[in-house]
Amino acid sequence: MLFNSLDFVLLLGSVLALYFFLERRGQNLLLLAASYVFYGFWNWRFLALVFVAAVVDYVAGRGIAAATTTRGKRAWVICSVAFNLGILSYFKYLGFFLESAVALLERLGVSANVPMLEIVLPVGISFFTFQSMSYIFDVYRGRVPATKSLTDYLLYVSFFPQLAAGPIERAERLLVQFQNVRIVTPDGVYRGLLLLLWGLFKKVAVADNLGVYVDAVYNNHDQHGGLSLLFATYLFSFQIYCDFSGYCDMAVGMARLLGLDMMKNFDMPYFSESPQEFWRRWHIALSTWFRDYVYIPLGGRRGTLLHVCAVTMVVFLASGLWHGADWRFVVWGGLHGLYLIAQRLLGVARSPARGARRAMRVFLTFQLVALAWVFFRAGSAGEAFEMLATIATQPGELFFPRELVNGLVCLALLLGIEAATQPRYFDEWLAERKPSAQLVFATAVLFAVVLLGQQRGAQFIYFQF
Amino acid sequence: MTAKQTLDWPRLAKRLAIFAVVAVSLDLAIGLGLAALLPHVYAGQQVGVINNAVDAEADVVILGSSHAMRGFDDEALTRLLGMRVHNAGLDGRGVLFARGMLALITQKHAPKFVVLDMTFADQQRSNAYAFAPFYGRSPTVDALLVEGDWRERVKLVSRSFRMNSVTLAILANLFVERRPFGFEPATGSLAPTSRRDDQPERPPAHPDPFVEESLIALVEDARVHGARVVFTESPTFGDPRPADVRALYARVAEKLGVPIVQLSDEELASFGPDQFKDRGHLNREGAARFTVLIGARLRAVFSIDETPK
Repeated sequence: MLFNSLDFVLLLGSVLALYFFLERRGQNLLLLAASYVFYGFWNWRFLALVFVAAVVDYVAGRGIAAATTTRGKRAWVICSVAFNLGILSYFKYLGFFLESAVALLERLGVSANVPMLEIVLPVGISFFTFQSMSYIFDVYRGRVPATKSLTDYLLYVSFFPQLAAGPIERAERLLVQFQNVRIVTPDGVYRGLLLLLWGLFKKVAVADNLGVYVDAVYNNHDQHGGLSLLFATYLFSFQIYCDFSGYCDMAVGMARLLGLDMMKNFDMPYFSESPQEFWRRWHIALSTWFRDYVYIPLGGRRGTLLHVCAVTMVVFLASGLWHGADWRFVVWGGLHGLYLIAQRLLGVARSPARGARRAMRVFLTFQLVALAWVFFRAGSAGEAFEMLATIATQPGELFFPRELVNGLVCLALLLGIEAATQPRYFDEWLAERKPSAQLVFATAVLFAVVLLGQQRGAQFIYFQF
Repeated sequence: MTAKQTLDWPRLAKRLAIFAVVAVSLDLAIGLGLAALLPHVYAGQQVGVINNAVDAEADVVILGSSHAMRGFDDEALTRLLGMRVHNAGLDGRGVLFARGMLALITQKHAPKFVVLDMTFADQQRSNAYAFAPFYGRSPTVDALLVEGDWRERVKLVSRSFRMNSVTLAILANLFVERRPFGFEPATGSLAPTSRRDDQPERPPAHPDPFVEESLIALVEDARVHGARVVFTESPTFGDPRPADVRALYARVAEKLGVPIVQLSDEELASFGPDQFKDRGHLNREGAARFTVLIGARLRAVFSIDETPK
């Protein structure tokens, strides 16, 4: 069930219609039921997985709270992490590791007869397991108390606006809200609706339109020259941004309609002046998760330069692997790790610049990010290298179907609005305009979706992770 | 969300009501305005192709995907067959599109022959969306668009939504002169990397059951209007249609008595890499040669005795 489908509009409408007549507990039960319906639409059999994963961490959280010794608390953490990484490993990485091991053995001249597994990947598994693990770490560190309510915790793990693709919330922010009475304000509803509309525009008008071109080129990369591949790579950079941030905008917008506040996951990342700044503005929930639970515990900036570089690389390789069980994601993560290490070693872009200097930095950062996206989008790491070779050596003709104009017009509208509103976000900026200006903007965005949007509802890219 | 509160519930309700009124009014105005411009569009894919095909009033209509659009030179075929031929193929379209196209064409003029070049582009029913601007003009087209799904019906209530994705094309292609023929030759020739013979075999397409149903319905629709249907298979470079798609067409052809017109193996083998744009499509030179060969076959099938003009 996609956010941009009528099925989902019905679900959300039904939830909203009942939500305001219920007390806090009733609201939580309603949201939990809606979340399970939402998830069950993909594959009802995995509902048991979401439920069991949450129950295990609920019990682990209670166990940590009840344990009187550090050793006892740690044992509960280890159990929880082992369980979460275990289900992640089984569903997401087992096939990949087996295939890689077989390939390695074959290179060494050993023939291995290992059955290849075809395991269906549950939607959003990386998101809900990471969110659940963050709760365990925070309970262990004493940042949040272990919740006594199983319903609240089940809802925290499966809250439908962010279940499939985040943002990966923290218990101190989201769980706490489920434990308290929510106040739905007219401003919250209004800005929630604006964000919903903005997210819909990003997804349907920009991402899905550009996606048609990107798929056409990347899925037939051997039939296209370097110019088309380069152009498709740039467009993919915007496609994935609009796809993912559009989803997050809609998730945050829906939460506002329910009187809840969720974190901002993107902060116009393509206006970053350096790779480091990019990671402060791109998929903020995941970056801060790795910062808090991997980077800092491994020593962070403490220690020798070599140690800092090694930790940075470990974090980015893990981040790449989090995205998918494929070497191309590892290369993608590794490239970003290299960018950050190089930036640190060269000592560049430490303070913000202005004017042409800033524009140059933004341009160069975008080029580096786009280069890494080739690995992210290609069918395999080998294909990505082939495409980069074609880009470098065989420009060929630019493939330009007329339908692409719709997507490019919407992209220009998006970039124009983001450039005009930055550093503030669209809804914040728009809420401060005159009501007539708000009406004009909202109408323009709505009709861009209706007239120019791609209606062959494509799945959100990040649902696969 | 810590911003100060500036709205109360009545003001929010008022804003939303104004927005709704503006949106509905604009939807109607834009939708009706674009619908009025629609018949004047003769260029561009989708609307241009459909309008050209409807207004061509041809005796022979060629339907199919890009294989048809790039392979059948309808101007040359008109001379060869001595009848008005129009190529109404379109990139990426399949049987659903062919059926909708025939429904719109037969509203104005009944062709004598319908040539459907084997197409398997219908992975999803949404391929029929090309007809959204024509919603309400033909029961067949409406049925293809709605597919018995209430959600599609709800979406198409919006008149602007019917013009989804074709708005800019309509505005850009307004008042461009009508094109008498639909053939659009492909330029360029096969890339060296694609000329190898060691390419993997095309995997089965696993066509959805609705493709076969639509193909049968297309033949029946044509016959209701007195047109004879012929299936053809334009050449590809070592990259034939998936076996299950060929089997599907053979099954329908046998069941309904539709002739399948193909080139002989010798003729197919004589098409070299320089006559293809890519492994699936002929280029201009290839299309010219194919048109002559298929024209002779069609003359025989249509039982045309006159000497070609």
